Amino acid sequence: MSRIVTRSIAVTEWNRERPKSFWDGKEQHLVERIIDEWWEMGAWWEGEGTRRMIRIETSELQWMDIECVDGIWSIYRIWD
Amino acid sequence: MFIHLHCHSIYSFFDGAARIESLVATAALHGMSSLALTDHNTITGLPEFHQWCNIYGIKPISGAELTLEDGSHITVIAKNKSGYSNLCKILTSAYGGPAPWNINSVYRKVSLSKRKNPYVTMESLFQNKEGLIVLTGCRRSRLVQLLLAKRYRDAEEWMAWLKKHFAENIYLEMQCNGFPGEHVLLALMKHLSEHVGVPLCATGNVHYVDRHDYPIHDLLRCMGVPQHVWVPSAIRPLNDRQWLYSSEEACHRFSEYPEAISNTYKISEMCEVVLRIGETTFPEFSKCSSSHQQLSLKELVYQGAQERYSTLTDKIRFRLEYELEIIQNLGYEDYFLIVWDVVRFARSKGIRCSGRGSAADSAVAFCLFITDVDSISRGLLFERFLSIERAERPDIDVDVEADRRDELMQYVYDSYGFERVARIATYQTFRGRMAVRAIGAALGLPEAFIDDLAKRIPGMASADGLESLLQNVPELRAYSAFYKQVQLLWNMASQIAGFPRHFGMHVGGVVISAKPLYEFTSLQPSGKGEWMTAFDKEGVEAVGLMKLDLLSLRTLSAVEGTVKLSEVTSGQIDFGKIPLDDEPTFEMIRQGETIGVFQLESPAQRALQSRLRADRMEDIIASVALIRPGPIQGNMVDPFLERRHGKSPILYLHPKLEPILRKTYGVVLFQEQVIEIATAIAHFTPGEADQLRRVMSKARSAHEIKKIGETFIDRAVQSGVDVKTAEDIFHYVQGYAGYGFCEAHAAAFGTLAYKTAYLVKHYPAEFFASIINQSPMGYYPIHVLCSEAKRRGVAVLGLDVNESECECMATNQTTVRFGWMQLKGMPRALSEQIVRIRNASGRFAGVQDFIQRVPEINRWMLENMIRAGAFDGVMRKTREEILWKLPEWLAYREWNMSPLGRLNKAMVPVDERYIQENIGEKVAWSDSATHNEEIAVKNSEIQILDEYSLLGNGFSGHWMTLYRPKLAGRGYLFIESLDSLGDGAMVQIAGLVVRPHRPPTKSGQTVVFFTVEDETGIVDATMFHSVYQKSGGVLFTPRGRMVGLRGILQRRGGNRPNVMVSTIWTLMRGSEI
Repeated sequence: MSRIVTRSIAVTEWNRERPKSFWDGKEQHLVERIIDEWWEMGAWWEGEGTRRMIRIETSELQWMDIECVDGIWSIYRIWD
Repeated sequence: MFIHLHCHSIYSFFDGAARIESLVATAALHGMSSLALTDHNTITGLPEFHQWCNIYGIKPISGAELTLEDGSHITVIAKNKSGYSNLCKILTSAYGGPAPWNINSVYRKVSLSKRKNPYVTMESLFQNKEGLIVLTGCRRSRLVQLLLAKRYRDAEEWMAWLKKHFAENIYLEMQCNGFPGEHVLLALMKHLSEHVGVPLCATGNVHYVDRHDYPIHDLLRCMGVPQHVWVPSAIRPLNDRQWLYSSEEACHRFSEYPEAISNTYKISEMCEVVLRIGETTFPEFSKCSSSHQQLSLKELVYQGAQERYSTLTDKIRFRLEYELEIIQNLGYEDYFLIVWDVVRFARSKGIRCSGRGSAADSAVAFCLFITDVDSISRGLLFERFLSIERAERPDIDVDVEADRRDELMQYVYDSYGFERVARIATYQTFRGRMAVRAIGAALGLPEAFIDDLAKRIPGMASADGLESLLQNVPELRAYSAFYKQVQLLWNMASQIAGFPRHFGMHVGGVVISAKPLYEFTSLQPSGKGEWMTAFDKEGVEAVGLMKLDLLSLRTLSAVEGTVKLSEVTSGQIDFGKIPLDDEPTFEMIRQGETIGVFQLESPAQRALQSRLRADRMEDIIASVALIRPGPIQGNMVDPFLERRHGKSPILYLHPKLEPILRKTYGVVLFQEQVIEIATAIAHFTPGEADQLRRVMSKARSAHEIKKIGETFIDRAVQSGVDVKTAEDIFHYVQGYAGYGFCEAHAAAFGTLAYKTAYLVKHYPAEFFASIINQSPMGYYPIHVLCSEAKRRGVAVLGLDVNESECECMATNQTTVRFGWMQLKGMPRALSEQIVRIRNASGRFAGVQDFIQRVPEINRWMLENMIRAGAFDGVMRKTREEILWKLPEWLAYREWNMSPLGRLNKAMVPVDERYIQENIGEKVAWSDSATHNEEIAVKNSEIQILDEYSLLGNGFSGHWMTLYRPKLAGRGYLFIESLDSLGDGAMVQIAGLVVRPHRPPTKSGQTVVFFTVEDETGIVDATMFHSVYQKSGGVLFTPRGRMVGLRGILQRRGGNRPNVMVSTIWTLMRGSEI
């Protein structure tokens, strides 16, 4: 099961252009490993661009899909 | 270095947005030495690809992405010529073609699904593997599908199997396009590669040149399904990363797999250029044909010359020798012999045919009876057709009687073998209307909105010129309010301008190859089932195949029909011996009464004829060339007419122009004259002069015309012509840009035009019956042809179950009877059956009798026959009443034909009275004729509507009869009354609009020409820009079929009235008019 959250995050540390740690509100997450990475096109006919999606596993063993649209990072989905 | 080995172009129909030139130019920009084209199941783009690669200095690699039986993909590249031949064989078999290659029939039954969705069997791939390099394929390949499904063992087996068959020619294809699971997938591939010993190869699976083209690719995929962009679908591209990226980007993407990158270059080095562009491979006639005694070309030409000319003068001999020498030096003797052979066969079978186009510039073609224009007596330039300098392949087009063209085509197949002959493909490309419909649907815009918008776009508008139409076309002005909504539609439509949409078959093109066709092209079936090349006309020429155009010309069929009908009505006509100086025919032409006449029937031609006042063949030939965009835009018509009538002096811009332009009164009319002018004034070589003509006649870019213009002026000045005169001459010739006739072509068509005019004048019933049989043909629809026949005193009668034959017939010199084939949806077999039964067992007594005697008839067809009035002559009831009764009668027939019905019929005598009273009526045919007048027409509106829609003409009345009561007392004139009014009279008329069109004008302003038809006749109307902008847009909308208009009558020096429209409005029934 998963939840779509679409919540902005503040990336604080990078590892080869990928987030290494970020703040989700008052909570900090460390990226333990990258599970998958892909690009998705949004509704281009409404002006949306490409979204970079990264599926990560945090140090708390939490799986998340984080996305970057126009340089802004957010959590898109959290997996149970 | 990275080389793209997997690229799709726009020829991957609905799955490629890369124009080939852009693809090659971008690869060159990236510094790539080679590039492969691998479209889906086709090699259509290869000739164009090779041509651009030659220009940009890149090595072209030929291939295709094949679809296998299970729907998976595999990429195949031709390593050498043998590989290319095998690829052609594989592709042909993918479309249902024979494997091995042994086509033995023109028409092979091909399942529709296979034609639309071709697939390759592994057997075919293995059988033809020599010379091929196989890449395992994209994400839709079997390998990737197995890996994604975590079926590693199966993937391993699949790879081992491929390696067993393709050995060192198989590569494991890796793509890194930002898809989910890709990193794991690539790692598995690497592992597999090491495990089974198959090297890696990186590809881009390119679908567009630049990433900004992604929306177009996405829309094309949506169109292909079809669905709209709001619907998520696995077959749509996930992201915009399949562009033609650079080597740097490739290194970045495949940084962990450097060998995959280096292998792309290795593969490219292994591949040869397999298509030789520009090399000609004509078949050898003597080796191919054995159907007659072999004679040399020269012998045949002189044999024909003896027949054509009573005496062979030195001039004729010199010309023939000159042409034969050029033909021999260029190696085109076999080509002439092949065309001669085809035409000889046609004539021997009585199939009417005649060469057209520049071939008529050749005296050799004339003596071989390929053309009917005596180029020597006309002083035509052979160089327009063929010259040593240009060394261009000859192109002979032959017009063939439409009804019998397939016989000729069959002869070509029989003579040269099925593996060497094929029809030529063509593809429909996206123009304005089609692009708006397709993009609008893909964007999910409302259907009604798209439909209305598309209908308002001018038919010939290009998809990349839509933006300007919003401002210039009044019927589109309403959409200005929705500019934001349609902006994306406009923008996207413009980007697919010229993209191929689907394959078709060229109207008459056929290739005859010296070697088996699979060495040049794959074949695929047309909708008709005939096999055609993967290449279009240009592609076929580029790869050096010999092309012959056997064009269906319905006019020739109409001529044949007229000749046959006249045998019954008024004695045989010898079409070949029609006198070319028949005064009544010229008088008719001078009156502009040329509806139905080949090439002379458009409003512009009819108006010209009444002003030109032709009295010789040369006038007809000139008029064929005059009403063309070139001369009209060059403002040459009026000067020609004034000089022709001695109203203005014949002036030449330079004395050297006089001998060239004398026969056309100083006006440039013919392409040959353009060549002669360039040669005489600017000392162009014949090749350069022809290049000038080509640039002008094909309306190339302004830049190209400017460039060649500068050369012309420079050379003219160098040869002693002053700058001003040189500029004037060039401007004068430039006005000829657009498509104009070559003189030889005009002469061929002009002669045919005159002869058909002769038939119209002297055999109107037979000729109109014949052209109705050939409809749609010519300029006007059937109802206008019927109206014109009526005006000429020919009665046109509708369908009659007891009188109509299969075809429209002239029953005598003043009566035409419609035939069954004019009825919409009537199958030929059924029409023949009706006539056969009637001839065998007597006239039909009524509908019920018909139903019983023609068991093949179905309800739908019978309804059409009733609605078209076919039973009016034998029934007491109205059409409406018969239609009400029809289900009962059909039920009775069904019951009669059932086992129970048959048993009952055998045991119990049929009570005819019971049937008459309870099931339907039975009217003895002997009574029926006397009851015609009793038929009550209750609903004339429906009757007229039915007749127009089913037969193309109203026999119960004209559309206008429905409107006329409302028009009474409102000042509307009948069209026939306009003849008696003088120039300048203000008139108000109403009628049916026929053929509104907006030809290009010199000023760029819109002028609309159309014809108005009421129940008394037709009149041509002209609407200028201001009126069109104010109220004329309605003509191009569904509301513009019936109009009222006011305008001034003018004849412009001719004798035909023309209405200059000042106001136009829609005629609405039941409301104010």
